[in-house]
Amino acid sequence: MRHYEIVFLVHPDQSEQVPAMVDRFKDMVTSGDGKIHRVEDWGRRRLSYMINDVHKAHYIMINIECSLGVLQDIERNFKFNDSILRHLVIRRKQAITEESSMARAKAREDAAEAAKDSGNQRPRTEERTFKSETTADKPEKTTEQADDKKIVEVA
Amino acid sequence: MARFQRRPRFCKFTAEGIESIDYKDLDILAANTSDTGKILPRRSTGTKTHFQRQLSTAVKRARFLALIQYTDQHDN
Repeated sequence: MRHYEIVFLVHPDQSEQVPAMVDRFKDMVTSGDGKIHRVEDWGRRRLSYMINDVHKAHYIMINIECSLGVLQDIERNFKFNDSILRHLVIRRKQAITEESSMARAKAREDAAEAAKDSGNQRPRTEERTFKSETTADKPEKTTEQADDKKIVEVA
Repeated sequence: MARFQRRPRFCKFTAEGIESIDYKDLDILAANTSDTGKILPRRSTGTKTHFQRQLSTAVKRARFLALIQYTDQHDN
């Protein structure tokens, strides 16, 4: 039994199938007397360069402890699954269970976004009403000015 | 005569007590690659051999997973 870290990229159109896929791999590992130490979903990320004419991909990372046979089965699965764009398997020395820096960064981003959404909801609407008022005021002024100009021209 | 003032160099990884460089830590990778995506040499960063080796594998893994760019001339 060895420790492995697997990262794979799923086609963004097949994002909905990700939970089912992860469950299948988990079953494969546990049925082969292996252990699952960590599963992380980094979500859909922008790729730094295009892979198979795709700009975005869904990233999944799994840390497992399993035998070589099980790992080979999983890798064969990756190979024949068209929705998996790319995968990376690394051997690790021990079980890693703490949250990775990637997951931490994602959690931070999500929290910031949530805070932004909740904080901005009211001000945004206020801004909008304010803007609409000002825009309603402006045309009148301009027409007045235009009228003035016309009057000047006529005079 | 104007002479080049050399800043004292030190290995950031040793100073911060980092155990190993991970390919998932994009901040570290970005700090040790150029804008064009090249790995910065030890002579400019002062990284110790032990960590420079780890850094190079980390960068290569991150590149493979499209977490960071190979070059700034990708087609997208």
